Amino acid sequence: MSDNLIILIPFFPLLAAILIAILGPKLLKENSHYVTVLAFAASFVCSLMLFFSVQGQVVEEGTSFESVTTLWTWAAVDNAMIDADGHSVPFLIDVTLRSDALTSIMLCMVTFIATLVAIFGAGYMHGDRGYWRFFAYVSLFVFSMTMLVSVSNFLLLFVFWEAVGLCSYLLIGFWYHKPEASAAGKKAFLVNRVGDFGFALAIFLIWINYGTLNFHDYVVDGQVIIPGVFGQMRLGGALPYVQGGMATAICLLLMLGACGKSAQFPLHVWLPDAMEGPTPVSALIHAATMVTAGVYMVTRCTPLFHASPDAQVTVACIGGFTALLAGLIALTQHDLKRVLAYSTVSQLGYMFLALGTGSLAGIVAGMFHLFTHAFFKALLFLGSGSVMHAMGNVIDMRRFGGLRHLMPWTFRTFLVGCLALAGIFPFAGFWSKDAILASVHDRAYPGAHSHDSQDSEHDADHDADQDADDHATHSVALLSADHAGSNQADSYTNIYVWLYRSACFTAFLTAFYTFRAFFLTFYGPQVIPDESGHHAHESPPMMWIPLAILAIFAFLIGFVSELDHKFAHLLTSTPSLAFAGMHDTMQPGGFHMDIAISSSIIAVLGIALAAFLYLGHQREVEAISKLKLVAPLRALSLNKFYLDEIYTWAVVKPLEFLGIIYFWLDRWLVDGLVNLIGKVPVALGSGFRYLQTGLLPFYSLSMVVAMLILLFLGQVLWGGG
Amino acid sequence: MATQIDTILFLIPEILVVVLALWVIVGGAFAPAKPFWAALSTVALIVALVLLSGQKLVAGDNGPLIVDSLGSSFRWIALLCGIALTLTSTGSGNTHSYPERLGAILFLLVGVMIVASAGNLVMLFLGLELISIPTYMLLYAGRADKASAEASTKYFFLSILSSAFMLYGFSMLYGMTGSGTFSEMQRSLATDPSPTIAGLSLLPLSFMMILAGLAFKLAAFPFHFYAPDVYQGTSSLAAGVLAVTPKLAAVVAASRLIAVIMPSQQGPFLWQVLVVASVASMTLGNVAALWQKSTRRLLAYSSIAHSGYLLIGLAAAVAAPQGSGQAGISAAVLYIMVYAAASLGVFAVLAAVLGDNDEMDDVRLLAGLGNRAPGQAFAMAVFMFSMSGIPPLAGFWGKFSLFKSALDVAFEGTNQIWFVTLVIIAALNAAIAAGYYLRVIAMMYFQDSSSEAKTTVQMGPAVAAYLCMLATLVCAFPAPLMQQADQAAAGLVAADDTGSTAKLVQVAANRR
Repeated sequence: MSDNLIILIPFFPLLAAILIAILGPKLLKENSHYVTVLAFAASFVCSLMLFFSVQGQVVEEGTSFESVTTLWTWAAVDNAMIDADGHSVPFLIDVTLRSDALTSIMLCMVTFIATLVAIFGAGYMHGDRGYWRFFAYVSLFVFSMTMLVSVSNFLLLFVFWEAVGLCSYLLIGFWYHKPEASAAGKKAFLVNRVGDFGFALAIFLIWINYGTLNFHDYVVDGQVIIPGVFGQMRLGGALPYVQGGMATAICLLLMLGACGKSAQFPLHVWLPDAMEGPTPVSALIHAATMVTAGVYMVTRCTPLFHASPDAQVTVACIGGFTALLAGLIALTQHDLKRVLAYSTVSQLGYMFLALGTGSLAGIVAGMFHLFTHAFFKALLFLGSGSVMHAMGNVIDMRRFGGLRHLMPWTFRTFLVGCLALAGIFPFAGFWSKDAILASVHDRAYPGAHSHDSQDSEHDADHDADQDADDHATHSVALLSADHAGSNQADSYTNIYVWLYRSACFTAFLTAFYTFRAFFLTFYGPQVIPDESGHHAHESPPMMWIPLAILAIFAFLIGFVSELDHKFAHLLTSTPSLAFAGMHDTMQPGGFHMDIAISSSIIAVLGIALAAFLYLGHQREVEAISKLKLVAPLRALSLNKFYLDEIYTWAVVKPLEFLGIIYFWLDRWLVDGLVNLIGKVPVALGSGFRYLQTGLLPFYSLSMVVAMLILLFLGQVLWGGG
Repeated sequence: MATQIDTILFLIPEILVVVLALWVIVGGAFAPAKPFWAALSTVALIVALVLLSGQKLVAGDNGPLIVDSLGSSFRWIALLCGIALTLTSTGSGNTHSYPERLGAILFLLVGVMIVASAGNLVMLFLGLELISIPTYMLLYAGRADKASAEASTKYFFLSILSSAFMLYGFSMLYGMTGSGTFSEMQRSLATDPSPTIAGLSLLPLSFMMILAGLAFKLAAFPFHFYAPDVYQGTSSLAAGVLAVTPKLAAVVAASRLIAVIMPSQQGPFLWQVLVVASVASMTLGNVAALWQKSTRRLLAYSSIAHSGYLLIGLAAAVAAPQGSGQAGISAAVLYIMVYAAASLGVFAVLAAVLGDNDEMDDVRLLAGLGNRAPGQAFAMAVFMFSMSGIPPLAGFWGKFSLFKSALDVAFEGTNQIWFVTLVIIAALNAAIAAGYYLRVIAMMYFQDSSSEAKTTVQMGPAVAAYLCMLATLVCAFPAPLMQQADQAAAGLVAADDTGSTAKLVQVAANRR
């Protein structure tokens, strides 16, 4: 059952993409969205069925569940490598899809948001010249994304990692006649290459160290032939994970890949520019789904990261720093979509921070935030798209304002999204942000919440017993490494303390910039730009109904998922998260009342400050901006900390200079040599031309002479020998 | 005697073509109607093909003939070439000598067919002369101007000279073995592999002379001098004949003589000569072609280069260890097939677009052909791509199997350096050749012609060109052709393990 479902889910969008690509330009035209919406909805239904089927089996089978479906063997090379023990290892790439908790959650989220975005997009893109092209790209994207989260192999993961990158590039540059759009597309593509380079190197290292790229065990007749990287044999502890410097190298390279795709410092610069694409795309790809691929990948690779505390703390630092940096930049941006883009970068930073705690609680919190964030950030983007639609594609917040009466539905749903993003009880963001803060807090102050950890210790003992029974041969190396790892990790406690403080401050920033944007857009005197053509109006139902649905989810989803730790229990059945190393010390984190209260207070303070500054007349803002102390800081934030300029001078210009040098070398040195070689046959030919005298006596004489030479040589070399 | 009747029955296709040729020449004197004679001979050639395909290859006493699949392959090729040439002939040269030219073509086809199944030296020589003599006439009759007189005179003298070399070689072979029949000569040489007289080794003497004669037919270095002058000085049709038919005969004759008669264990000299001739021919042909401004002269140099490639296969066949020479021969057979299709096609296109204006053959006349005659230009482009060996066209597979046969020899035996170097030079040559082939394509598609008027395309040659293009395109899937070539070569080499009295020449087993 789940075998078919997992195939159908990517199949529908692929079919839609092909159909639209073939029929779109001539036949479907303005009806292209029907195909896409239907396909996405069908995928979503399948995803839901898969989700419940997985959930049911998790309940039956206990802690760890996966089911893999092999479609066909893509590549098979015998004796591809000789491993350290002298065994020859085959290189085997199966096109294998897996269904487990992590995959099914991602699939539900992706297909649900995609369906709503496609409906919204049908309204938003109405009348565009590239209408069918848009839906073909989006369908291709959803195919790639669903494959990305369901493949069970690093190589295929990389393939679809690139495929979503391609779709992103195509869609950012969708209006390719706009120079900004095509430049932004190129920037996204090039910056992502840096990350992909790291990811590819990581895959090479994984192949060298593990002798396989499969996540799952390759099983023939019930016997494990090739143990997968996240297969039961390794997770159970029967085989060790690589430790030490190599583990750190693998993880850091993986993280470099994640930084590219998920827009983390220092590779975050492409995401704000990516807002040049159509807004539904910003919502789907650059807020809810593709940019979370990095988070998904790091989560999937938890066992690898677990082997390297150094890498974990790096992930946490990158995440925490990016969250703070992007939050600071978002404070002063004038462009509504850019505020949201930086907010996305910041929230992704939160997720990495949580993953970087290395605890199960942290990972669950990170994934939970990914899940809730997808809903409210898609909501916010679609809301901004609705505003943009009404304002004639103007998105600069200085040029419009006071839209709450003009666009009531957009206003209401946007408010829900803002509350969720700011983390106000009981909206979705509150639960997940709280979970992240709690996990970081636990990591920073171990033992502070003893009543929680007692429970978990009990569970842990229980699990440890089970493990001992199951896997009597628990590797000594793994244990000692864990031990060494935890000692070492303790020395990082200080770092986590600072990360916790920074995260709390970022929460304040988040609430502030969110509501700054909200007040600027919907409050104050009603201002409408000329581009809207003076008939600015609320968007059609096709656009606000998806907003309303998303708003309901942004309101409820956190609450429902948090009930009884449903989300956590399901997620931890993912093999990558339910492995022996994880059980020793960690359990899904509890709900910390004190942190919940303090973070709520922080968020309310942020909203209050935004209200104080931006509601009504903005004389306070003017006054503050003029302060000697604040002005340079404001400039720093407004100019995104000059990172683009720094990159231009540190990377782009030197490379351009190098390019000029190489161009001249190629032009004069290499081409010169090549042309010289090319001259040789021509010169030879010109020599031969003089043999062709056209005189019969010469021809016959040369034949006779050649004959005589042959006869002579024949006698000497053949007859004589 | 039953055998004589069998032999005559076996030769029915040839006899049909000879009768046809006589009819055309005699009847044409009274009714010189081009379409009729062309249609008649096309139909007759098709009938001959049908008759040929009905024949069973029965090993047995076939008199002076050899019945094997190498022979029948080349008879097939000759008849197919005949159809293409007949169609081409309708568009090239002046009208009043048309029947004579058509008759000459038909006669020389019979010559090729006889060479293909010749079982003794007399038949072989007869066949070769039956190719040469009509060619002399054909070279002159098409244009009948000063240039063609000069060209045919040159060819006549040099061809006679080469025939003399070859005949001298044949006579020495006969003197050594006391027989003119291939199988008997082979047996005799197997018992006494190096006969000498007055301190001279006779075997090298005779083989070098025969080699010189065949090299002339192939237009291989250093017997190539005639080709550029003659191609340029004659009609497109005659150039097409000259580019294909003598080479067909030379390849099949060389395969028989070298792979069959020559006793084994003869040292490396023969294949070394072939390798050197191969390298020299292809290099000279290609680099000289780079300079040419006359289309037919360019194609003459190109045909010299292709002879170099054919010699790769022959050299590999000679150098291969015992009984494994068929790979080289098979590759050469495949190569000559795809070369024949492309080459005939090229001259058919020239005849189609240039018509009677045989004195005009500047490459620049092809400018803008892509607009003026798109179908013919496309066909020409296909031939050019095929000849330069661009995959997946036929020419690529020809080169591929030649290189493979040479490399197989290189890695089986001790002659690695020679053959690896040979293949490297051959590959470099393919790159050089692309230079002038692609220039022709560029000329057709990227240069504007002086006049934008549509070119009048001659129908007969145009059809011939399309047929050749079809063959070249079909050979992008070369499996059946390769199989045929393998079979031809295998029949040659894997003769009689039953020890039968051998029509089919014995090789592998007895060569020991």
